[in-house]
Amino acid sequence: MRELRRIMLVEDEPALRLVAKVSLEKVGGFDVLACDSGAEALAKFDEFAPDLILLDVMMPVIDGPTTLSSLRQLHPKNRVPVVFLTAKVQAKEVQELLTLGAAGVLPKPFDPMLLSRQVRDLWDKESTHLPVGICIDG
Amino acid sequence: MASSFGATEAALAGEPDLGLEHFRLLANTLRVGLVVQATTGDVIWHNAQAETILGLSGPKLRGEQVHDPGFCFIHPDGSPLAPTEQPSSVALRTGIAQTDIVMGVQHPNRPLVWTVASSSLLPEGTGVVTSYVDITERMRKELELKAVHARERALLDGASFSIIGTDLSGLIHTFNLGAERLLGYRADEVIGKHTPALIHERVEVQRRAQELGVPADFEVFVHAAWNGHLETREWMYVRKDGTRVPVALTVTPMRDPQGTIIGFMGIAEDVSERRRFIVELQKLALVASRTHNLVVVTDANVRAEWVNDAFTRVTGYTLEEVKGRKIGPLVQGPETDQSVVAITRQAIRAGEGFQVELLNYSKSGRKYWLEIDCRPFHAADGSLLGFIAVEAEITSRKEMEAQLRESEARLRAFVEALPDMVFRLSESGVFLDVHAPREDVLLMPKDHFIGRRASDVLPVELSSVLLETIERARMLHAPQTYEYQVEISGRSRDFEARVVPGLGSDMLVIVRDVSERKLLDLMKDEFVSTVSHELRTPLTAIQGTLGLLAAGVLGGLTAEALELVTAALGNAERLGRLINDILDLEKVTQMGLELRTYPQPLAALIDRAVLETAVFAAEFSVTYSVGELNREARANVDPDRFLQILNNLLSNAAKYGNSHEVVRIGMDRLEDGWRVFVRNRGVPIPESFRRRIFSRFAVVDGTDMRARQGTGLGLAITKALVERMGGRIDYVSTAEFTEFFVILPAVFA
Repeated sequence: MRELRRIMLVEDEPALRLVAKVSLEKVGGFDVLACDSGAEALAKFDEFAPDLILLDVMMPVIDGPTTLSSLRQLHPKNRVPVVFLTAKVQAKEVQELLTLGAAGVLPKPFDPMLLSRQVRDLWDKESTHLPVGICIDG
Repeated sequence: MASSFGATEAALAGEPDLGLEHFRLLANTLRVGLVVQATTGDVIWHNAQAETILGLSGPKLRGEQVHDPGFCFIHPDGSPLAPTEQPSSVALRTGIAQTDIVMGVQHPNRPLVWTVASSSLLPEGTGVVTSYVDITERMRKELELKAVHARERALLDGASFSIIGTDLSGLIHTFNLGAERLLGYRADEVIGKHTPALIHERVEVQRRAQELGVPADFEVFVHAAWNGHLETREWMYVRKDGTRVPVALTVTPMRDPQGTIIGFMGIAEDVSERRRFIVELQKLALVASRTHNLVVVTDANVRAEWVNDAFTRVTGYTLEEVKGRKIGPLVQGPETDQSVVAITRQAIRAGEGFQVELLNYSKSGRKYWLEIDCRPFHAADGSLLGFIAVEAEITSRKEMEAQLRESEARLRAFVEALPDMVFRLSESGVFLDVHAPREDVLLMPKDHFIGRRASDVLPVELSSVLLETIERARMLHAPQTYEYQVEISGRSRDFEARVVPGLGSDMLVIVRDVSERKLLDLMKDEFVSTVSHELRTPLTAIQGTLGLLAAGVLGGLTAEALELVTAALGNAERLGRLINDILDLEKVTQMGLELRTYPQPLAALIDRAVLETAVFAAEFSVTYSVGELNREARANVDPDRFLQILNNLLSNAAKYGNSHEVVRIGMDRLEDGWRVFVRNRGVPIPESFRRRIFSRFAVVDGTDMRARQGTGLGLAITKALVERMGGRIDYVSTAEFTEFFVILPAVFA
């Protein structure tokens, strides 16, 4: 089984991006590439070759779901797990995101001390090929 | 009837000149009722008029049908007439014809009829024929006449007649006892002397002479008689002792057998008594019937002759003070309406009565309102004797009217100033009154409403809800409100209607345009959710940063720095909870929150909630104790949201209850639901707080909210959630305990 090391973080909000990046790096010990837009993520995907993508849903210009579908179109063979970060965590919304092919959904706001653990849990479950959806009511 | 003709034919065979047909024709056109009876008493023939007078149909008359109960004959004195006393019976029994027997025919279905009956025996003892003549009308007139005569006689008996006879020049030759008694002269003292000088007032004679255009002498009295008129006039006789007595004098001519006038007869009646009698009568009649009213009797010049006690009581003036004076100037004052006074003067001058309302002043200056009904009264000759005024004090009515007018005006001004539409409707939904600040909100001109039914005026969707709400308000005796939307000038507007039971059976409907408020509500809601989302993002960053710092992820902090960062983190977390609660509440109340309700076992959820909050409770040194739970109890709830409700109630009990206490959780079975309660000991919730406790940011004064981590939104959210699930929440708080409870409709398998 592959090890989770490289995480691509896509978040338009600078402060959150920074907190998440620090949290993943310092608490989780991951290699993190922080992108401020879906476009940047798509542009740097090949170069960074992430093991997992943490993708904000609501972003200007290209939102999370569009970024995901573009990625699948551009790299049809690459099934890198994508985990959404969203403030909208009602059952219906989570279900919609999962049907887009996401590995999981994490709620915003996130606890920086728990974020790495949550991501790793999703990674582990994804690796055993179980469809996973996390719904934690904010 | 035909069957009885044989007998009749036989009975009437003795009439040689009258053919049978002629007889029948004649009998039926007669106004006399005829009944022929056999010796047995059986009726064998009668004419139509007999049915009318006796009030019996043919079959009843002939005994083929039973008489109406209550039918009988009576004597003139009202006592019943026995069948054996009826003239036909008497005639048959005695063989003697009975004539002119007066009998009443009493019949239950019509007024009493009086008849004169005569019975004659038919030739050869074959029977008896009785005639009935209706004399009801005659009897009635006779009775009336008798009453009139009795009255007249009563008057005449008390009067003294004076008869004075003169020749053509007025020389007295007859002077009767009545005249002696009336005038005080003996006959021999006046016979041979001339009238009128002796017994009349010169002034009076002169005045009459002027009116007639004749010399002021005897001619004045006989003028009418010469002209063939019989004249009765009131005059003043002068007695021997100089006193005056009013008389009604009738002068008639005396003629010789050839018809030539040879003298005159003056018949005089003392009317002083009658005059007094009439006045007294009128006074008494009025006073007796209206004793609480003021009564004033005046002479023809409206000078007071008599006033009653009520007059003195109200005006302060006694009879002695007002006698002989005009009352008007005495009691009228500065605020007396002079135009009304003018009306009364005009009526008095014309000798007519009047009815007015007038403000007067008492002797002490008190103002009072009178309703005055003033009527003239006249002597026998029609001359005006005076006025009787009956006056009702209506001061309090006037004051009330004034107050009513004032309050009506105030109310009207108040209503006019209202920005709301106000409708008054009758019980049956007819518009009685309409007020609107602008006509465009009424949808149609104001006049279109008045007198018309709501169902005829308003669109059906508006009238039906209005009438339903009116019905509800009437049944509940309490104001009811509803909201509706109407498109005005192409814009949808929101209205709130408040239906208030008015006085009597009226309904008031107060309608307010709440479009602005609705718009503001919407804007507020949008603002709240936007702001909350905007706040949440940076707050997450702050919280995250502080969390990472406090955890030493970025290297160890000095004790001082750690203290500051921990405090900052606590505040950031609190702000986060606040924002989450606001968002939560908005979601729940705006129905934006999707609830997935299905029958859930309540006991399991309670167990879980207790488990989840136990750690939190431990912070406050509180433990939970769950009573016996019905494991079968199920209700339609959203499990996550029901847990939220329980968590809120449980954590509140831990936070606000006494430390080191046990919070009790339990469940009761109600008739059609389950009651879940959380009970703790602690300071009771002030009753004054009851109204606000479930509203936003409600925290009891003096409670250290910060210390207890409350946002003041928990109960508002909880209530909204409970109601979304079809339940209700309430509490009791006493010195012993405070208990919050949720009642949910039960679901039975």
